[in-house]
Amino acid sequence: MTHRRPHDWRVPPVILVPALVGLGLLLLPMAGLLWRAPWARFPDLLISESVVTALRLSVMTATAATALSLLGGVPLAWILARSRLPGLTVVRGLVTVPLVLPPVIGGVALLMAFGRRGVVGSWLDQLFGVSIPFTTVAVVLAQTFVAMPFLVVAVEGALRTADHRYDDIAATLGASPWLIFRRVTLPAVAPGILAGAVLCWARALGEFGATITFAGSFPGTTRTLPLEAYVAIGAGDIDTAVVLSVLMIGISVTILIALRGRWMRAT
Amino acid sequence: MRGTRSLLALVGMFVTLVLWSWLGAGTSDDGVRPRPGTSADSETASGSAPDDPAGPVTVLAAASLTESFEELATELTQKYPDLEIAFSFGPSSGLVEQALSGARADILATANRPTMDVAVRGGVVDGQAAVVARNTLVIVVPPGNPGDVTGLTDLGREDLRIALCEPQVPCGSASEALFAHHDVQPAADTLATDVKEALAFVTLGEADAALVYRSDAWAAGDAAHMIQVDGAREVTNEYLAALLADAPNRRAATAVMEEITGELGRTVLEDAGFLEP
Amino acid sequence: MVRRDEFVLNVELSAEPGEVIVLLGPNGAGKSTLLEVLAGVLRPDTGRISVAGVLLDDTARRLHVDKARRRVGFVVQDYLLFPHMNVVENVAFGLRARGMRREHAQSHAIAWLERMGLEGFERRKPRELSGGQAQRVALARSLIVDPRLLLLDEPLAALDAGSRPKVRAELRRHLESYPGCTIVVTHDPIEAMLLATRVVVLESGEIVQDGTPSELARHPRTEYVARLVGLNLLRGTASGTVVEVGPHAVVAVAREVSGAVYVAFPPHAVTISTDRPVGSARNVWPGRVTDVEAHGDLVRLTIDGTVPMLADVTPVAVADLGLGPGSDVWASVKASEVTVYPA
Repeated sequence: MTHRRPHDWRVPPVILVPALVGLGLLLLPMAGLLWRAPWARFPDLLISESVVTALRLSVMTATAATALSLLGGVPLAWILARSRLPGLTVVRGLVTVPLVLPPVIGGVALLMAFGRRGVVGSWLDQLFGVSIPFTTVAVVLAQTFVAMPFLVVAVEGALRTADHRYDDIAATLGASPWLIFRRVTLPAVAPGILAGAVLCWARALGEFGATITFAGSFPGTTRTLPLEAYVAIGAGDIDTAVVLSVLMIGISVTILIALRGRWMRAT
Repeated sequence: MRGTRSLLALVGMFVTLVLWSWLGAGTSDDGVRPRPGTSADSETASGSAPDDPAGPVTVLAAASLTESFEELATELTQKYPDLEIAFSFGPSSGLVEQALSGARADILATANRPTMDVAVRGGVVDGQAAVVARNTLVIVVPPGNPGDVTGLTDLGREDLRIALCEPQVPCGSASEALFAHHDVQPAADTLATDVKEALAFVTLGEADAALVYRSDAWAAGDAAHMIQVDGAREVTNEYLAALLADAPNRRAATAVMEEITGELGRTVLEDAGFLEP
Repeated sequence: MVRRDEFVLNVELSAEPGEVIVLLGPNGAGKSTLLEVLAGVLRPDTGRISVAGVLLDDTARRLHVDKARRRVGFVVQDYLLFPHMNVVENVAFGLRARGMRREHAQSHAIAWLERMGLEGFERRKPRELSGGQAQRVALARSLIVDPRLLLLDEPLAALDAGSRPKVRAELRRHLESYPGCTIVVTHDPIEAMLLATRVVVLESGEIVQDGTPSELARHPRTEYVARLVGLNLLRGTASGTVVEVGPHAVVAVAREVSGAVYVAFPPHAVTISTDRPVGSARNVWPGRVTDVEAHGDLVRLTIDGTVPMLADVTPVAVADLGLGPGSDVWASVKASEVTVYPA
């Protein structure tokens, strides 16, 4: 670009004042956390056993949920973006429902499906004696349920923007659909997949409502960082709750800055 | 064309929700907290006297008091039509934290003494906190008792799905004391922050057993089956209520406090499964 | 035949090996759609496609060979080199898709790149290539798998005007050495004349003319082709040396013909005067100038009248006669300048 509009620093007050109010509403709670944070005890609390256990579980489950989302979400996005199956608009709408659904409702829905008396769960229980609630698997499922739509939406967008004629050309050269997907489509949408996966991971890490409803809360098994923070508040241990909150905000901010700076622009 | 139609659908849904939420309330309002002055019953009750408590009273109350306090509010607003009681139910320590942060409330009711002590030490309580009820723990199991639970020792069985309260919250510390008393090593699968959370897993059939307050088990009705624990009455926790120092409606709040600690409060709380103080 | 919304493409075409067929036509005529059908990207609604004796599509028999198995090379306007692969990987892609081992495929690709005059570009990424280089890579990528049929969609459109003649000459050379049949889509008549052994003109989904480039240039059969090759075209009924092209409008021609015919004459054969001319020209028509525009070093007049036409005159004539839109003029053409051929 050789031509750029000169910067204009004047903002009309009609816009500036509500903008500052909006910004304050977004930033003040976070500033409040930082203000309230017990900085002197911060290092000790960060390496306290409950925090470290929750952090380890959170990183593990969020990563597993992201892997699961990639495995199912990328092909799903491909179908939504490329195929002409009937009823795709309905499927697309349903896939994005968890984005706006209260996570607690998601947790109840998961119980109805995979719980002991659930549609699939009762069947799993009878045939294999497997019960999902209260296990780490339940945490991963809850996180996947809530976070996978982020990945699907990001990858579908990338696939739509990507030129599908590359795929046609590859096909005329004799490539099989799988080879085309692997060597042509995937590299073209890799930035979109990466951005989607990071968003998905961040959302999974922050998952609370569906997890506590579907998986319960037990240290080391199902009690992730947000649940640990909730327990800390319930137990009146505000310091730990604040430390956990600051930790989560730090992770989120790092991820969003990284996404802004790199992959968002690349897609 | 299509855009206009979906916009119309959205507007239509929004209008429906608004109308429903504003006008629909009068038609099926049984069991829900009545609105003071709007209920037909209040007209037949004794008319308001000038000395009667009036105006809004805000009560911060432990989650386990939900049903009984709402019942109490119904009784009180029938008695004093000008009284408006609003509740904020939650975990006791959270409520104390709210009170300490200067929440505009008149009465604080906690599910155990240590949390109330925090509020007293913080200087937000006016005078003495009064014991209004006691609660004890019972085992709840889903209808049909799929885990064949008969007593506290069954809560140590690894093959069962057990929901308990987090030790750091009042029902959890009570549970720990009870287990210690019976020398049982519990095998919990989830530690709830809130007693309702533990109970919900039983009513949903996901947990085979949970240790909850007698009052909560009572409130669950047929959704959960109650099993008494021997010696549970030796481990009880006290429910305390206190007037807050910064109560905006001190006169009415004092009257409500008297009712809670008085005969009416006792009756309602006992009906809800609490033990007398 | 292909139906797409309102548009219907209905084409019957057969080609010999070694032929370079240029599909010429205005935008929306169905040229690219025809290529996509041949490449197997689109499926015809009804019809048959066979290449080198192999049946690729036959709707009557519900036969459709998938695009991956047709062995039809397809080079598109913007070449679509795979952006994350280097030049060698691009060219070797088709061989790798057929299961050839990497080293083997790459050495083949390198040989093809040498043939295309692209030594030293093997490790470049597509974005580091000029338009002409990218075109040659795309050609090599298609040709390396030995296609039965080669399709080129607007192969020169993405190039800047300066590099176009050189790339066009190279493309022609490469197409001459390709033994199979090539179909090139363009809307540029010069490109068509230079590349084609045969030109097929497509308008509104139908073939309107099919012939060698010189036939096309001499005997256009539609207004579109006539404009492309720069001729005035009229259709009429002939008897003797006179062709009736409209009510009260006749054109005199140099030889005797009869029946339905086309008559054509170049704009520069038209003489314009403001008074009725008294020369040897037998064709004299009154008309009115509706448009005046520069055309090379001449001025092109659009004339409306009993016989509408384009006329090229010198700027001096325009000035001397005071011509402009609305001027009433006489247009005359010598009978010897008029070509006549059966419709």
